[in-house]
Amino acid sequence: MEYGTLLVFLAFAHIFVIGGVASNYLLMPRGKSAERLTTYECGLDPIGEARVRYSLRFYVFAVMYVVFAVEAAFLLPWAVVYGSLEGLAPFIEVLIFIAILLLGLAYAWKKGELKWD
Amino acid sequence: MTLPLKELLYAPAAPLAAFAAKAHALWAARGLPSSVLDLLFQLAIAAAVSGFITVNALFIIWFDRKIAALMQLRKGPNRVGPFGLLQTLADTLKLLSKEDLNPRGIDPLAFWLAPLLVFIPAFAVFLVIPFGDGLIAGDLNIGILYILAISGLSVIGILSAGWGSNNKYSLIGGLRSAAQMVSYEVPMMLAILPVVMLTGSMRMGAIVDAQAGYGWFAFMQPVAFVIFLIAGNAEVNRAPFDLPEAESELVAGFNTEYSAMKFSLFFLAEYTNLFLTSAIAVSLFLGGWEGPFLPPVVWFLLKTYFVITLLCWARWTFPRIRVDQLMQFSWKYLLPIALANLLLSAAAMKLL
Repeated sequence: MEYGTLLVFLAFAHIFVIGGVASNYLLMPRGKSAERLTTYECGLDPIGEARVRYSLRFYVFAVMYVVFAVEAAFLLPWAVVYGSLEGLAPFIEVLIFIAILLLGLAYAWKKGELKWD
Repeated sequence: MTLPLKELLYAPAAPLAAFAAKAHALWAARGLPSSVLDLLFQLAIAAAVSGFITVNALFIIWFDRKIAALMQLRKGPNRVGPFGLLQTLADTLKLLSKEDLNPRGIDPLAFWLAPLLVFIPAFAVFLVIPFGDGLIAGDLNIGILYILAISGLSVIGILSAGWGSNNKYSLIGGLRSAAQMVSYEVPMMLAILPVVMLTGSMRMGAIVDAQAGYGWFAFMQPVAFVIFLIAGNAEVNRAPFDLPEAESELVAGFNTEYSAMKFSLFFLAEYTNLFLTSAIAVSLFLGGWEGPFLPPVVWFLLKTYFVITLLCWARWTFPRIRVDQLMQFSWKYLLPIALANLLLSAAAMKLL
């Protein structure tokens, strides 16, 4: 039932977007000048390709994100059952799990991967 | 049949369930399949949500501008309608009647899909927002995980807007935005974990119920609350974290080349995300709809607008930070603090 509502929501969001853009196309004026299709660069003609080479840093941060997102995916189920578990074992297990991750973070930190320059 | 107005306002769960049961009974008496009625209900909820998104975004934009004006000793919008309330409506109608430009050299698929990919997550997250007891479109048992998963999707939309626009400003703005959103999602997830731990459930309704009797998680987890607010502010790309659309260096960031309705969809999604971040902060840390005298829905909206005011205040108080500061703040400060907070809370739950 709830996931059915989710499907209806997704369909409705599509209708919202497509309906909006379609009504825009019904109402809009259509200019003739070719100038209006030029890339916006504050009045200057763009030099070279727009899809330029960019810093490798973005890639490094994306990789680190994947590591920590997977970590959160493991931690969420643990957090749900944590309150009902007896003894210290669940705490110590997670301590080890997070310590390994922190080791990785410390390594990236030491290598200077967290610096942006 | 008289409407139980007071009950509908203060405890809507029972009358709504009674209404649904009655409608199902009437429907079944005519020999019609009940799945069709369910679909009609779901369509009505989705229509209500899209109406709410539109009206709410129009109001938040006005609210944001008024607060900005208040802080800078200006008057703000005050021409269209009472107190300028209809200003954003006029702006929307203007945008609706502007030409939708597709500049030369764009990647059509990426350029056209981007507004859709940014708007759909903002719409879909409303499924699990608890406006009141029983006023939740679909109380998924994975509520908070669903929010994290769905809202992460909008990064793809922003990247494709940057890539598809064939504009250097857009590309750099899109990449910066993506890097910022993924960096701040990590401390955000870690700030949510203590709340899930204390509740023992990811269901949004259960998280609000666990705070009943004014045991709000903001008191028990102040560090997590502050981290959530900071990371949430960074997620919605607002000052002091507004580098992706830094006007003085990147024109408008990833939506530089967008015009008319496609631009308004980005704008709508941005302000809806601001509302959603505040609404999630209220549900997780400020007791959701709980409060004396006034109806729960009113309390929920009041608290949400209180958090929005806090974020607007931060926006007009702090200067924009640099890119290197932005990334280091997330990875070198927020992440270790959030992890330490998580471990301390886990230890405290076992020892106390």
